[in-house]
Amino acid sequence: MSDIAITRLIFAYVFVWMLYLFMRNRKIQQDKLLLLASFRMTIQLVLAGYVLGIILQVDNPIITISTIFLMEIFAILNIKKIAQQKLSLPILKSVTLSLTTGTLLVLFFFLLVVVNPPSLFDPRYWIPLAGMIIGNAMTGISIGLKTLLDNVESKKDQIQTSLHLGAEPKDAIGDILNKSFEAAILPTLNSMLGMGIIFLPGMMSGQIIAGSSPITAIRYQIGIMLGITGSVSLSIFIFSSTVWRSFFNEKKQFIS
Amino acid sequence: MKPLFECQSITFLDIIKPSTLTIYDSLITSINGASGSGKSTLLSFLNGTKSPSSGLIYYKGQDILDIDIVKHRRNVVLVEQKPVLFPGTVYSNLIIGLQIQHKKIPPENLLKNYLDDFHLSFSLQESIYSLSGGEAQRVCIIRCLLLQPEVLLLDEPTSSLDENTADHVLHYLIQVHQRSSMNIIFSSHSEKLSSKADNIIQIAEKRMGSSL
Repeated sequence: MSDIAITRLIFAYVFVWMLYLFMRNRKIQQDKLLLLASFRMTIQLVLAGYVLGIILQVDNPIITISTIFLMEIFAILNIKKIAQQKLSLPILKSVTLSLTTGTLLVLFFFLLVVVNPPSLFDPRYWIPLAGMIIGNAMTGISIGLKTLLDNVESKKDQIQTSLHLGAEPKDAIGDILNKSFEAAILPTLNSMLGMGIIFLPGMMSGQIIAGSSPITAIRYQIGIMLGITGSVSLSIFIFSSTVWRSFFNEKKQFIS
Repeated sequence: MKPLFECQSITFLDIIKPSTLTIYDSLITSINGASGSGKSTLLSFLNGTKSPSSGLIYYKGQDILDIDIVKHRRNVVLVEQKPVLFPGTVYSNLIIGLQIQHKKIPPENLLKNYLDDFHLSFSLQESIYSLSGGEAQRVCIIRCLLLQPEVLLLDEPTSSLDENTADHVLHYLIQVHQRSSMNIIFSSHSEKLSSKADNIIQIAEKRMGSSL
């Protein structure tokens, strides 16, 4: 694979510059965010490149597993940030339980049963695949959580009325839970629908550029898509099965 | 007279100061008081959707904390002051309580009779978005009557009805009480409305007392 020279890579920033000028010209407020985002993306990826280089070189199972746990922690912090409101402790517990269980179960299954790497804890496989699985589950839970919180707020009268009519708390919030599950899983399903026709996914494109045959690349891509679907649905399933309790007390009363 | 509800030294934040009161079985009870005096809160205590900050509430001699609370809410159903309907038709809203409680859905002609009894002239398939506040309030009352609870709690049931309709609804509820063993407890700030009750509980300034 031909390497990209740094001087040539700088030319890629021409698109950011174009967007910046356009935003300034049209007085769109996000021009500073664009610069910050581009800057952070660059620094974060450079750091990630060096850190990954070290992890791959050291090839130590403890470091590989610790890295995956660090990724989980960052994902949880990110979900907290995206929620844009203070999350109660029970909701945070539910987010943590669902994200870690949903992603780790699928990751172990996927690597040990589907991929079967040459050496058991080879970070070359674990880290990138963990990144994709945790990243997608994080997006799923974020969307699910936001949909849930918005709907609980806008439909609190209906939840309360359902309780007045004698509903069990889980049934009183059932429709809202289903909606948030749907919202969380929809981006993954949509991306499966368009895959290979409308766009070539990043991992597959990367493998092809790196010299793998497209047939090997699609095997990985199909595998990882199923893994992503599995981890998003398992995470959001655990999330919706546990989070509803956060909205009720032990006397089955609604706490908004 | 057998007590239905006994509230002992109940308080709620700074809305309800220590109060003890008894609501008797087989009567129509009116809870009177000015706006903000804690009438709605007291009704929520009775069906267990809220709890007092301190004090005890007994239903038929049993502490309601010891009863399966969902089962209790099915026996003691609350019609809120502000009518809350679910997206859909009048029909889907009338039967939603029965669906929640896994009870048999009556035939449509019986539901239509209820609409006629409450002077509601629209069809069962009418969208809830075309209902006025008073119409929605009556649909909510019918929804709870269909559940045939032991106790029907109504929070200001005639607040969005004109005088004639209010009289009619109240008369209908009294008939239901006389026909069946359903206890009726309603809150009101209208003396005219509470004059129809057998027992009046007056919520005074931050304190409750019962008078017969």
